[in-house]
Amino acid sequence: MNSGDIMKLNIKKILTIGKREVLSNIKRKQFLIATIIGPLIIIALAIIGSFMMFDIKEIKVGYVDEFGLGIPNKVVENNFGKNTTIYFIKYENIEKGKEDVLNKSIDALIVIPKDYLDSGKIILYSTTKSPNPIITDTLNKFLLKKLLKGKVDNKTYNRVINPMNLEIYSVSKKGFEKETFLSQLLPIGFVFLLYMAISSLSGIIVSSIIEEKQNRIMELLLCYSSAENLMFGKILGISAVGLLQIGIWVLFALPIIITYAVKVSLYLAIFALIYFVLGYLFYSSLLCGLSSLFSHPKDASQLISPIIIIQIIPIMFMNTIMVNPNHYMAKILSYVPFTAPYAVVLRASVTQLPLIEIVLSTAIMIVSIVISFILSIKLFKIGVLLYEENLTLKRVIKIIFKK
Amino acid sequence: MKPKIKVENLTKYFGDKKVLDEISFEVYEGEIFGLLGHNGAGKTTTLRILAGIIEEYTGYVEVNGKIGYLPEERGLYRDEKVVDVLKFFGELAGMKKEEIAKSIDYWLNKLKISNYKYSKIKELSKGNQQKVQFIVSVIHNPDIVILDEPFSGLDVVNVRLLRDIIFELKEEGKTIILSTHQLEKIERLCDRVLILKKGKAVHYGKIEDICRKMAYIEYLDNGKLIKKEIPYEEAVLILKEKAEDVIKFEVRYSLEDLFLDE
Repeated sequence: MNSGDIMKLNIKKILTIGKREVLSNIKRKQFLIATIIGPLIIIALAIIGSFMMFDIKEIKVGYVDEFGLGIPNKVVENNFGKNTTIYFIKYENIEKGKEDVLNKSIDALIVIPKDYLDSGKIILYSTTKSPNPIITDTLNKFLLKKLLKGKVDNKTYNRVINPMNLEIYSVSKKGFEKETFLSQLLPIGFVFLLYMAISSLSGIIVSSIIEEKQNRIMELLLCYSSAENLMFGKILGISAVGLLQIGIWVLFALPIIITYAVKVSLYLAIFALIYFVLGYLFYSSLLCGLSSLFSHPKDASQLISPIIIIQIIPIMFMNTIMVNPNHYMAKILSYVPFTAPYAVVLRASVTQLPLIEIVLSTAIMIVSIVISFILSIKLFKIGVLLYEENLTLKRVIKIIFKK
Repeated sequence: MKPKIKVENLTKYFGDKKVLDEISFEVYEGEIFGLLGHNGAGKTTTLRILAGIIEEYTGYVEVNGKIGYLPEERGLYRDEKVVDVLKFFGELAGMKKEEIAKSIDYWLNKLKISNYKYSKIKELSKGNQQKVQFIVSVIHNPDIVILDEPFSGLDVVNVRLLRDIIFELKEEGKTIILSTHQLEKIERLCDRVLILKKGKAVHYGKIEDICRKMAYIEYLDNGKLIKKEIPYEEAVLILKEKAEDVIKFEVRYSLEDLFLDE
């Protein structure tokens, strides 16, 4: 952006455009639906998951004991505060047992062969390919108990039953910090929040710009304000809408956050905030410029979808990045502007990054944002007055590199 | 007198295609200036450059004053109310809130659509939407009003209404540039014109200086009423010869010739 362009910036006009953008978008049905449905879906998924997980109160398991273990008639298992009663029913005949599995008299049939001690083999018959893990877990515990009982002291016995109470510590210059399961939720939450924010952003930007093109308002807007003011105003307004939406989602999540009292490290929080802003600015300016080339949402999405999808790469590698934050792939993703916001925050959540990497990554992001704004304003000036039908990717590239 | 608008050797390419070819003209304060030509002659491109919408061209363009612009392709925020749309553009033009409110009521009343103040744009008829669009172009009291095909789509009554308003703007000292391909709308409206043909300026100046002088005459000939539009000189001869029988004599200028391809 040269000094001439800076002279064209008018804060008042930018705010006027931004304000209109906010007011018109929050009235849209799409905004209300997306804002309300988002958390509702999350809640629904949580409820359904919870229901499916612990709905089973009673399980019937038949068994044929050729080895002679002496399985009890009833076992009560406790999972996350819910009781499941497992009834073990003795069968003398395997065929009879199979028959009962088929006609659903019992949920599964277990056969403990004569040579169990040598082979370790347990045969399980079930109508589903994936038997209920409660059955296998219960059986596993029971077998251990039977095999060890009377052969080792109680202390050893209990340790074998529960081998690990794992505590995870991350090593850094500050010493040892205890990691909790919940502290690992923050970077994951950040990643999905940024992804959802940008995906939502793209929808709003596309519909806003293309609506103005379709309604032939662009010429009028450009008469009253420069392309720069118009684009900045749009980004400002649409960002405000997006952040409002996120704010509402966070309010929904507030009870959960308070309940678990997640202790967020300041270091990580600052990282997340900075990279959220950088990522948001980068994507929003790029999407603004590209959207302006099209006159129909369907056409725009063919070019914009790939950009949204690029974000999935660091999400797909999320586990790998967190397990091995210094792998060369994780580093590469930290320097690519499309993926850096995700990769850096994920890496920072599990290790202390070298200062040089932070500086370099941040610098690349800032330079990319500037380039993105300059390129997008250029596209914007061309695009908003362009009404070609059947605009192809080849044509788009030609437009970008021509002027 | 310094011109409100000065254009020198204006040239514009769209890709490899030259759409404007070294056009030069000036427009003065209080003038109604007509930009004429067939579709594709370059009228809209010229007006967009004057309005600041198109920034890349060669040549010299100087515009001295605040601009209002009525685009050829009309469009507004269809889901929003008339008053909200006008407020938005008023704010964008840098007006204060009180000024905006006053101006909105003034212009809605003048164009006889006050009762649609709180209606959504999409609920208005096409003609009324165009009136709102026109108000957008003048709401901020611009010095220069650029109107691209202002009469297209309007019925006879509204054409007259709009023309009267344009004359009033002129009397207030405004400078008006308008384009049209409907020649009959221009004759008694513009002080001077520029005629474009395929991106080139082919005629420029006062209408009476560049157009053929014609006359419309009605007279009685052996008890029969004759109506003719003929060259001015012929009409004068008839006037002298049959002075007592002439009922109507009206001077006109013909633009038709200028648009014929050579």
